[in-house]
Amino acid sequence: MLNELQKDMLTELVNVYVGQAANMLSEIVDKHIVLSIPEVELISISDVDPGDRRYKLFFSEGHLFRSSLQFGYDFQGKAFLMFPAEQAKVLANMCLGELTETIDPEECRLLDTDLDVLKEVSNILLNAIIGEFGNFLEMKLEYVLPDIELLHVTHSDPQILLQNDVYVLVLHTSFLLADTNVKGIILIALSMNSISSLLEKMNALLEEHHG
Amino acid sequence: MKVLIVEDSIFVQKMLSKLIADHFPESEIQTANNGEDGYQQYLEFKPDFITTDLLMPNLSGQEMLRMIRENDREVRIIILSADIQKVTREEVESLGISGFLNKPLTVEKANTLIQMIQVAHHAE
Repeated sequence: MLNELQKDMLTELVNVYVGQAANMLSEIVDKHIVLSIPEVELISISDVDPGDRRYKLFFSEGHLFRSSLQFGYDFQGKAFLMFPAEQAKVLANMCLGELTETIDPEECRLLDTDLDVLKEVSNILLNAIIGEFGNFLEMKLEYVLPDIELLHVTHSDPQILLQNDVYVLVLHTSFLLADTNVKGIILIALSMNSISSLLEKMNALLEEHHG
Repeated sequence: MKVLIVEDSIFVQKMLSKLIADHFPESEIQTANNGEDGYQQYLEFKPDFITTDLLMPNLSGQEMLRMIRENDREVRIIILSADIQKVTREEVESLGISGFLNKPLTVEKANTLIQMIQVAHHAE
């Protein structure tokens, strides 16, 4: 669906935007963030293979913290930030200044204060990425209030990624907080119209620079 | 000095309250969880300064700002938001604000916020 130049450009954009978001998270928790190289694909959710190693985090059984930010109108979609629940607890503790980097899995219950912090952190990170797409496209994005959920994941459940199969999964990246086991994944799902807008803008820039 | 903090995150509310109380011990601080509550408190509390988030339930910070500016060009308003879009910033700036800071509130940005309040306070 993407040619090599488009894929290269989109990867570069995502790299920069996720890098900025990671920098913000690094400032919040005062830890270095190790980013993976973002992988960019345009695929239908129905094509997601639960056996794919990149989704390992989600297709093993357990509880998952998922935050989402929906945006529209001209550029429409939903961005997700996900962590295993016990790692979300570590992240919340770090944000609250508690240096608890390893915790007893039996005591990983997320309290209201934890959820409040995680919602705020997710909102900052997802805004940093999605907002830059808006800036790039020169479009005003309207946000719906961010949502958080604690989900119980069962093995091989592709719908845990996206609940609505009209979405097309586009970008995914992961990050690791140094000296911890906190690993999260960011996914951005875009509608077909939004993908077209993005491709149009990218093609215009590629035309300008490469002829 | 009266300060109203409008913010839906309790975590950020507490952080801002402490920051402002530490630098302006004489200040009177109130908090609101959304724009609707914020507007109500603005009417009753009559603050000198408002710090507000933008994306909040019931009534957004932007809508609250618009309602306040219909009758009041004096109260100083500082935006603290995760929204990094240039268009958003331009829109709220056109409504009349004393400053705009992007979250997260780092030590550097906290110092900037305090300076913004100091400058605006001395300009009164």
